[in-house]
Amino acid sequence: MHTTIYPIGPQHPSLKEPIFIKLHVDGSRIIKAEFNLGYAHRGVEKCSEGYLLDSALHAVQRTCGICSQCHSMAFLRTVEPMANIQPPTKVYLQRLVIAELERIHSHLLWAGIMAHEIGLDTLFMYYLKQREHVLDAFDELTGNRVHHSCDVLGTMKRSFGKKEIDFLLEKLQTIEPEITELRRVMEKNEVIVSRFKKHGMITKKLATELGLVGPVARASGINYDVRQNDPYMAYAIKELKVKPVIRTEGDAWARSIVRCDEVFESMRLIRKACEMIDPNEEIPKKKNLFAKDGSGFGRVEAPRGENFHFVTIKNNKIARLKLRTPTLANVLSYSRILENESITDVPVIVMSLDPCISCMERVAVIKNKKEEIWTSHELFEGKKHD
Amino acid sequence: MFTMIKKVIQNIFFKSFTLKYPKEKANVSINFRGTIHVDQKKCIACKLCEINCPTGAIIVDPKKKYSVVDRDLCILCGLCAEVCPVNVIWFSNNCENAEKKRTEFAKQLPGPNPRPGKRS
Repeated sequence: MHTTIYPIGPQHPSLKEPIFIKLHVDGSRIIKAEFNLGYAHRGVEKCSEGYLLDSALHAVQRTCGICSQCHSMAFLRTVEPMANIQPPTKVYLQRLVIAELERIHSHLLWAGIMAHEIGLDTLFMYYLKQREHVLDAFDELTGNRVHHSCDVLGTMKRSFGKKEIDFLLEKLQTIEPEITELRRVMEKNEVIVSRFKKHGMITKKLATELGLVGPVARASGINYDVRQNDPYMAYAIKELKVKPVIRTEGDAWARSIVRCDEVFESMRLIRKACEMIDPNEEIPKKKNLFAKDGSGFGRVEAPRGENFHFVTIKNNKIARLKLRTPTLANVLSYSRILENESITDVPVIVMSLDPCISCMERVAVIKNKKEEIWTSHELFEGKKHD
Repeated sequence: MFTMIKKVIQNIFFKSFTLKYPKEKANVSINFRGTIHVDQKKCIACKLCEINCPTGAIIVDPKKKYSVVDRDLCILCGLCAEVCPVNVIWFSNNCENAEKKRTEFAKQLPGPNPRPGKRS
């Protein structure tokens, strides 16, 4: 059998992520798929070393533009017990509101891009129009549209008053009927169903084997959600228990529906949390905190799945930081799910996992089997490249 | 089919969702962190903002009691305003921050505090 090598990425019109996928094809059928990473390394871990805890929190948030609050929450979940501080319930509820709003905006953006991949650019515009309302809500609540920067250790920068909560609820009221309609399109439209159904199949067994997380695992019938299995912050409150959305089909279509339904679940949580927030209560001002030397880890449920942080603190500064974003767990499945598919379906299958490659990129330097430590200056200026 | 016709009719008669930006000014929320401002007269040069800034955008001169903010490096996180003991750092909702030369980012912009008495 004669196979041809067909490269996709890192720059490709139908693939927005910096990943190189090498396809061995026979005709248009894929025999084998390999992928290569390392095109968009940013060095967040190295940058954060030596930072004070609050400064490191703001650096960590910049890992991802879409799930900025989830990185912040994972870092706080790790560091707050080490600094021996327990924020009041209102702070937890406010963090939940921002995190769930972020889930809505992430899923809406993903659904738009998914529609764009199959050529439905009108649907893409409809999704982005709804996302704009969510960004306006971020603007009003936190002060920034993308990187919210609303957390500090032990408290938040702003306290939600009646005006902010009313604005948020009004925005949710505006987008809900529109998103209901867009979900119906995603579920019933013939073009979408024919392109998504039975493509990129992940069975429950394969998902368990590869250790997939997030909506990808939930679309394959795995009941796993950090908010439910290991509740943290406001998710531990009885009224704010999460009902995970689970489907058993395991194809690209099921992953779309899981994400569409999660938007409604997030809306329910936000409304419930807004009821519980007391608009007149003041939250504490930022204090100078001193954390014990040592290490800790924490995990939260980001829009794409489980987000894991490992932090080592020395002299109240960050000595080591390790982030594992959900994409790293999911990206390994590419070589398995692309087999026996047609080339035309590659963009749909790749995007159906919602990859965020540049958040995931880490670098490992192995040279002469000796451990070598680079300073951030050497890493960015390329002093040691040869 | 009915939904589609409804949408088409809506799009013909309703105003467009996007703005014609340079002619039409964007309606920015008063809570938006757009530009950083420092009241140089009241600054006590305690250097807390310089130590805490994640990108090193603030440089404080303790002799002159003067602080320079590089708006090119500033990521508008608001941590400096949060740690400032005398509340002389604030953010205005001016979102037009483009400059023609890099050096002009060090120039301090004048501006009133839109949210007096509130934190960052």
